[in-house]
Amino acid sequence: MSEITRDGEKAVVKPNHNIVVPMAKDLKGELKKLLDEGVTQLTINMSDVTMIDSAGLSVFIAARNSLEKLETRLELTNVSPDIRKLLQNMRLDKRFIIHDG
Amino acid sequence: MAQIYQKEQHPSGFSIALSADYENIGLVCQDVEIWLKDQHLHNFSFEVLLCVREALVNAIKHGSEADPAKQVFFQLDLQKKQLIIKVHDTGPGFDWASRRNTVQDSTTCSGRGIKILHQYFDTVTFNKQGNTVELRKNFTAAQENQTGAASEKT
Repeated sequence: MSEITRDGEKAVVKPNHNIVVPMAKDLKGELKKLLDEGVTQLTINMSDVTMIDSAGLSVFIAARNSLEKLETRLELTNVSPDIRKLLQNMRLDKRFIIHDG
Repeated sequence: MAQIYQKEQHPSGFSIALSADYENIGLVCQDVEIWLKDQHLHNFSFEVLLCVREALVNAIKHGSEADPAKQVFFQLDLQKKQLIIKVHDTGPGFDWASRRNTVQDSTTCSGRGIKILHQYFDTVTFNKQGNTVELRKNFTAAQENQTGAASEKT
């Protein structure tokens, strides 16, 4: 379970575990629920995340695709250097708003 | 069904036979992380552990249908400054080559696992059947010096 802070259409989600198989699907469900409830500005606080795998990247991309329809972007905060490099290597870094940790 | 997790130590590394259960991936990663630290290669933990995860997920998901009754075999060796990781499953295999050549744009959700392996390891090879992947990563003297320097600072 992630720590979720809601303020109207804004939400900050802070996963308390790495975003990898098998836990990534839990985060996917949490983000989908928020988007279905009308959240349009979504931030993921990555301060407790040291690892993300391809399943985790899929979760981010699915959320990003939903937000793009609303002309907003997924924001990632407290991103570790290793995860930023992974996003760059996968050519995904330009698709999110990234704040380093 | 009893879970299997059998680790065997070798002079140059170790091997593990495990039930095809996603929960076992974390256990393998713990063993690999400890080994990397013992070898003063912990600066490479993120990329090695990420690729171990990707290879094991493929073996469990595609090779074993996430059936804990099936087994996956993991092997790690360090030979002549080259890290060699092998992951084998008992499934019929799948077309790794076509997966690699699948071009993902930045809106496609899936299909990045093989690309990640190629990004962080020097060579990635599959057996003909497609149920064994071998990853090789060369640790250069410069990288080892950097690792040693980093470990001395901590």
